[in-house]
Formats: sequence, structure tokens, C-alpha cells
Amino acid sequence: MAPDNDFRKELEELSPILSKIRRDGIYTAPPPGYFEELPSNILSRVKEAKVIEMKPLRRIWRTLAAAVATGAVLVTGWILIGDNSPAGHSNLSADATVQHQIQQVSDTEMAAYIDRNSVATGNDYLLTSGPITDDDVPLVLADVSDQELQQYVDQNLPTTKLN
Amino acid sequence: MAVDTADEFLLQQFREPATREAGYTAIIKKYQERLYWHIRRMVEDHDDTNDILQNVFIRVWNALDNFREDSGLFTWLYRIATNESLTFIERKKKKGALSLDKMQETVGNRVKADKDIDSAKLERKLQMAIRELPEKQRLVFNLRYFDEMPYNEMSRMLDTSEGALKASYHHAVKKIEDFILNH
Repeated sequence: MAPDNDFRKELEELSPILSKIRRDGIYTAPPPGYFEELPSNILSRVKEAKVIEMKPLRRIWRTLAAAVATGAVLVTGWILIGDNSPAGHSNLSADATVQHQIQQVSDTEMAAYIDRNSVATGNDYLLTSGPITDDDVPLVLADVSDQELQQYVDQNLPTTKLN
Repeated sequence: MAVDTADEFLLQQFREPATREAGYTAIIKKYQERLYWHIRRMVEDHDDTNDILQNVFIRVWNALDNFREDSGLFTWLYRIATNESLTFIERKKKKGALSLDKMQETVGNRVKADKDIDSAKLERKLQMAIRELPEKQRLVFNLRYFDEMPYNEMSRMLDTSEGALKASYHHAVKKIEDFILNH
């Protein structure tokens, strides 16, 4: 910037006092070597900012990478911890199918099926499992006391005395 | 005002990736001192000035690619420095932390160390008078009184008419003179 030639004249006319004050003595000088060091200080700050600052595109990629990594962790965890075996899958789907089909069957059909296919229990088992042999007697009567046996005999055998 | 030849060369250096840092460093070296004093006269404290000046040049690094060269490089730098200084002053005002005590202490110490007491007193009064000016008027006074900036250049920089700037400067000079004579 070229000095203004009219400046001095203007100031002298405006304020003779101000025109006589030393302008370079108003403020203290900066520390020695300040201007020599300043360019490198600023340049290092600029480089530092360049390293820290991320461009928008890089930010998007970083967000996407984070999302993918999170998804991968979740999927891995599900595979490792959850029941993901083929048997597990087929059992689950089979159960669902059976339940669905049972819901379609009427109560009458259900009762008829039970009558045809009921599992024998209690006395039925004894009746259907064939005749009792002598070998079966100790097993069958193992839990019956002598007193109970005598009572049975008294009630069911003919009362005629044998001579 | 177009960019002068020397500045044009520095800008070309800056725009080439291989010479970018060299061009930038050359710009800092060329203008750092003038910008330092421009900021210093606004905020007075050296540490504050240093912070602002560094911020100014960092802004320059980020914005220089968009510099359209329809004004001179120095005018553009001055404008950034002015805006940064005014922002700093506003922020400090809001915080209520404009370190008046620190400023007065600095001035006081310097006055004691000065051999020419009368001259030092006059300088101290001038500094206090400048501090009393409204910020925009202080800016105009500093640009004219210390930097001897022509009104037409100041007009481009501050986007204000030459007449208004001249009136502002004359008012400022009168206020300062009154302060010196009455304190």
C-alpha cells in the first residue's frame, strides 16, 4: 500500500497535537523472534487441521463401514449363540405345521381318532397282554399281603368244607 | 483493484499443489507484520492479537482458492483480519472479559520504563482515547492514522463511501484531541 501523500497535511490541519505524537510508540513490540516463528507455527496448525478434518465423503464411508461392522457383529453373535442348526429350523417349521393342521380337525374327528388309537392302561394292559402263566404269579401277587389273599379266598371260593 | 504482479505470483504458487505451502508461507511473511499491527491496534493485547492473526491465516488457507481477485490480496486479508478482530471484541464484550485492567497495567509499566515521561504520557493518553472510540470509528482511525491507508482503498475494504469514511476519521481525530487536552 502506497503512503497517502495527503495524510500528513490532513492530520496537521486537523490536529497539530496528534501529528506530533510518535505513532510507533503506542503499543509494545511483540516478543523477539515472533515474526520469524509465526509462519511455521501457522503452517503446523494448518497441517494439524488437515489431519483431523475429514471430508464429507470420508465421513459417509466411515459411517457406512461402522454400520457394516455392527451388522457383522450382530449376525456373528446370532449364529454363535442362537439355535441356527438345520434340525432346529426343521423342528420349528414342523411344529408350526402340525399345530396348524390340528386346528383344522373337528372335535368329532379328534375323538374318533383317540378311540381308535388310545394307549392301553391299567387292567386293559393285563387283559390284552396274554394269559397269566404260573411264572407270572409271584410277580403279580408280590405286593399283595397274606391277609388280603385269605380274604379273597374266603369271599370267592365255595364254602363247602372238604372232608 | 486487481491483484498486483507479486501477489499474482504468490497466488499461482498457492494454487499449485507442489508449491502450495511455499506460496502460503510467502504470503504470511509478506503480510504478517502489517496485519499484526492492524489487529493489535484493535484488541491491544499481544496474546489476543496472536490468536486472531493465526486464525486469520488459517481462514486464508481454507478460502484462498475461492479468492476472486476482484480486490487486492492485501485488501482481502485486511477485511478478514478486521472481521475477526471485531468478532473477537464482540465476544469478549459479551463475556464481560475485556481486560481493561490488563491493558492499563501494560500501559502503566511501559510508561514507567520510558525515559521520556512527557512523550510516554501523551502516547498513553492517545491509547486511552482510541480505546474510547466506537469500534467502527476506531477501525477507520487506525487504518488512516497508523496505516495511512488512502480513503479509496479503505472504501473498497469496508464497503463504505469515501465521504463517510473521511467524516468518520475527522470526528475521531477531534474526539481524541479533546480527550488528550482534557485528561
